[in-house]
Amino acid sequence: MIVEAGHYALVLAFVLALFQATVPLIGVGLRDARLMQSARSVALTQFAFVAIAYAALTYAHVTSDFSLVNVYENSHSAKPLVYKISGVWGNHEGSMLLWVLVLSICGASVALFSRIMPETLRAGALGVQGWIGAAFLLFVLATSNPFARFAQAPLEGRDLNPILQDPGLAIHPPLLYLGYVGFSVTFSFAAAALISGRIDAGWARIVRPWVLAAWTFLTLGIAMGSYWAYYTLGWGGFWFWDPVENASLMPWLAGTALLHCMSVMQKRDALKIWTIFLAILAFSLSLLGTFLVRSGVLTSVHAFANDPARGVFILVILVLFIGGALVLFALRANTLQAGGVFAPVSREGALVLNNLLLTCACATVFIGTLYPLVLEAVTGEKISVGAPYFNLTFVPLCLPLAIAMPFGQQLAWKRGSLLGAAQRLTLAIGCEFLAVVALALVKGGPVLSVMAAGLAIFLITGSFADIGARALRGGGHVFARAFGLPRSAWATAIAHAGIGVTLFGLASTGWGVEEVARMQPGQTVAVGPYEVTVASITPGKGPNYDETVAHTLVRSGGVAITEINPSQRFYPVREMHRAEAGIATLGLGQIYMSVAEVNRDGSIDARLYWKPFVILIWIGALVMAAGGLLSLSDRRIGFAFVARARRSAAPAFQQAAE
Amino acid sequence: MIWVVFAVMTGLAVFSVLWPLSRSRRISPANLPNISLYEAQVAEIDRDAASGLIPAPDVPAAKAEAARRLLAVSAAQPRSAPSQRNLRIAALAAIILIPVLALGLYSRVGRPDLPDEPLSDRLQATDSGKTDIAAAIVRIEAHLREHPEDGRGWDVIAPVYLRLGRADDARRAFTEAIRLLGDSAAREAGLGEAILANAQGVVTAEARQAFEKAKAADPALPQPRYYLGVAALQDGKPDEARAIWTKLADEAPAGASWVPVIRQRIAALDGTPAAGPDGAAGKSIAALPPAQRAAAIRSMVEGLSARLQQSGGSLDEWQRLVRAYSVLNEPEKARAALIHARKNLSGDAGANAELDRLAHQLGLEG
Amino acid sequence: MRAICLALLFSLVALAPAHAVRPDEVLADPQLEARARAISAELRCMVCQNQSIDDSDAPLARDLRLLVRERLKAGDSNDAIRTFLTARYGDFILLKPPLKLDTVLLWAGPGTILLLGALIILMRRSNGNNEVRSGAELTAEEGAELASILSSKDEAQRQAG
Repeated sequence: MIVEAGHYALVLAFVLALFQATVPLIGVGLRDARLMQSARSVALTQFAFVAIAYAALTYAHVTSDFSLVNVYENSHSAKPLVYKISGVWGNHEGSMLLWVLVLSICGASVALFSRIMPETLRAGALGVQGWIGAAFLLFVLATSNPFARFAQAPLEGRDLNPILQDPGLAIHPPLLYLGYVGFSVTFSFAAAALISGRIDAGWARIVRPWVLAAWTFLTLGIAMGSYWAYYTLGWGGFWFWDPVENASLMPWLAGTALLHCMSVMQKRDALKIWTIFLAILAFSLSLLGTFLVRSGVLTSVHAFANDPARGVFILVILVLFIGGALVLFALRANTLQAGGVFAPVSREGALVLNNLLLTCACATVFIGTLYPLVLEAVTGEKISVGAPYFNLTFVPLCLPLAIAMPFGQQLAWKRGSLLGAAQRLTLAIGCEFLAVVALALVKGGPVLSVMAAGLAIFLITGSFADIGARALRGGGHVFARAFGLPRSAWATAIAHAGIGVTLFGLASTGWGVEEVARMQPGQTVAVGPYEVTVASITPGKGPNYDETVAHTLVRSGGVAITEINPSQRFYPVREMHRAEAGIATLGLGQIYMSVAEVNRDGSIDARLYWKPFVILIWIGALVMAAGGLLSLSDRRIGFAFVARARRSAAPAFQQAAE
Repeated sequence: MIWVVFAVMTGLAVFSVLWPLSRSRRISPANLPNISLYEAQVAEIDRDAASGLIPAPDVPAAKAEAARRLLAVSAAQPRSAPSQRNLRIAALAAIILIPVLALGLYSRVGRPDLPDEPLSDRLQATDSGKTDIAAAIVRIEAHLREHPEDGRGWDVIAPVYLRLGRADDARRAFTEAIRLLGDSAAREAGLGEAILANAQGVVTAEARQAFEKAKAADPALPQPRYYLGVAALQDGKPDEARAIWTKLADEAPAGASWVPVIRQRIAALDGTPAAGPDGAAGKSIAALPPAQRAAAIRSMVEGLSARLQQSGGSLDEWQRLVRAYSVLNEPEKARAALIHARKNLSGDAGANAELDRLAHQLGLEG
Repeated sequence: MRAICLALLFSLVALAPAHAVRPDEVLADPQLEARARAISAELRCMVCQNQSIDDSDAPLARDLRLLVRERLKAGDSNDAIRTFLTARYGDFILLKPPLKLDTVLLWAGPGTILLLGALIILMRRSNGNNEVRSGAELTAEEGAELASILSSKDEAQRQAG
């Protein structure tokens, strides 16, 4: 009964989404307050029903109710509880339901939050959200229904793909979806602005926290996905320019540009066209990513669905929403009043450059990802576009961006001075040269790594130059001033520094050491500054797998530091092998060991790496996300929760106006 | 029961649309958000001016921009008197369309007749008497996961796996049972069959080993011996296979159900029995070069002799054998065959008379 | 760029003795082995998604790695090996798509978009440079309206509060 109640709840959610899509927008058109206000309660109730449906599906997974096709195909009674729960989104139907759940959570949040959101805007945005929700709910019910049943239930399921039975799985998709779907909210707000013909600083104030939240989650989701690939796929690679990875990178690039536009819009009421365009682009790329993954156009670790009906449905959704938005944009862009004017060398100018480079980078990834597919469709010829292509096209776009970032931070609104900015950055530039020299002396290493690391130091120190300058200016204690600065200033510095940290991590891959050896128990191999000894190789058993584990000791200068246990696993139900890497984090680097092969004579073919500073790659992403969260906590930027209006604190203006 | 739940949910859905439409008082003046926003913007302009991000001369212009925005949106506020007609239409649409659409769509995708089937409930239900093999298996498997050292469990489930065709599982189960409970003919035989099934019917070395062990433990068990015969056949030794099977069939207790099967296989082995030189077999032997022909004839004769000695035969067959030996110029063997024949046909006076006549004919008396 | 990449690779080699992905694949000659690694990094493992044969554990990847080393021992140049492999497997095996008529758009795309974007921005700047705002100060009418709006808010607060 619970299952079918969840099923019915999903149907009701779809019907309510239809209402949410029509009634408020009619209200906006007729300027009828009550029709517009209906949006809030409908959005909240729709969320409640989707939540009930999701809870019912989770219940079915947890109790191993194999009368559901979804549970049969993706679960097993022996699976550990945590993977029963996270396995709900480890398959196509369940993950689509999660998508829709996050969408409805966002809708409910728009309904609840923000005392400063005008009703017209709220109704318009919820209306467009309703359209998106209705489209995807219909998709779920028609082609990917997780509540499909067997009349005669089997007694055991087919287990979850072993690669997906991992803690990283528990975090990566929900984070990503919060990002993707968060951009649907900005899309809805942008569409609502186009419909009403008005977009201004007030709009930016309301939408900015949504962009920040979506961007932060997407950053975390991508970082988590990359780290998961790093330790799961057993080869130590963390980015393959895989089409699915690219599908998450593209909205991130567009989202970063959008983020910067929002601050310009909020302060200066400028860059309106950019903003709307990027808001539409970010969500369109999210939808495109959905299409790429689920239509079966590609196959990778991520591919779930191979059903053409689904692909066509998503394609139709894509065309309708992106096409509709672009048509709306073309028709209404002219009604957007031009905003503030600025000189080419100014904060706004720098942000225009930023947008240009980020959009081009996004376009590059887009071309590189879709070109093979299009070429194959048109001429039948198959080509590969991999890391070498992106290194030659994407990286040269990022370098000027990295250099420009600290400069842009220093420029004033409307009109700025490059010379002044450079002067304030002398310390940072000095640090860069010091770093380059020091690294060249110590590591001698690859030219690229040393230069990139130097650039990273410049970025990190340059990001804080702004804070430093402001703290030093004027009287009072330096630290007091520094901490008295608005949180958004700190957030910007921290987020930009995060990019520098990641860049340093990427640069340090040039200093890595790799060893490949056939190892017997008792054998030692030197890897970088450490020695790795295989103590023993033993068989083991997990709840749904058999494994061979190499118990290994990591030593430095003869002193044992830590133990790692890489293994090769075999999952009998799915008949799949999976290698578990053994990783020891030592300082900022890692010893990474992977068992490539277990040989008959009891030895293992192992791959050992010493990767100095490698965790900086993901720590940088965490730092970026921290900047985003800090920004959200700033009352001037973040969500305005308080329902009651506060007493005005600026009576001076009434006097000035009189 | 479930329809009650559906009705409640539908009611909630309709209510969520009706409630805001029916509220008569406004929560807050519609313009309040805009005013709050204006004030926030002005405050921010001041802050930015203080930190130097906005040059001082630009500050009044910036504030004026904010003020103008407020004026513009205030002018575009929604009318305060909502049209009753619209509200009624919306309400009616909600009351009618929500249930109709929801139930209509659900009737196409939903299965309200199927109850929840959590696994634990299903396994408990089968305890109450119904013999459901599949459920029993699941229970035993779950038990074995908890207690992998329970030999009896493995022993019980292994033959079930085998019957169900789950060769891999059967093999593992038999291995575990043997490990935990020790060898037994039945287990080794089962293991052998499981390995066999996995290898698509080929008797591998491991299978043969298992069957040998089973046979040693209990020679009366038919399966191991049968499969050893199959092994011989697969090794290219049909005679050995026939010998094994014939012995097996002969030693079988009367009325054993598997005997006809064995006999059939033996018959299949023989193919066209070598009736004589005129038969097809005979012609083919005649076609061989002399040395091989002699060898072929000899092996046929030996085969016949072995068979007759082991399982006896008709008078006609014994006569053939004796004549064959005499043709091959082996009088001793011919005499030995005669003795065997007489023993075999001892009850039959007529047959014995015939044998005597044959002996006399061939000059084998004495 | 190419020189930098080569320098990068060679310095990697200088830092750490180069081993192949499996112990039994290592070539005796370190120079040849370095070339093998360099070539392998640019060849796609054809049953994986965008991984090079250097990165992949698939059996096919291993076969290709051995093939590359065989050809190197036979004395082929890097280009000859690449030609040989593309003749066998098509352009699909190269992770860096060759510059052909088919791939002109692919290689020229990013640069073109950058130029186009820059052009559009410059054009818009030269077109729409007029100050839309009428004045830096509010007029008397506007000021009065502003005051009435702000007071309406205080009114509402008093009622609610």
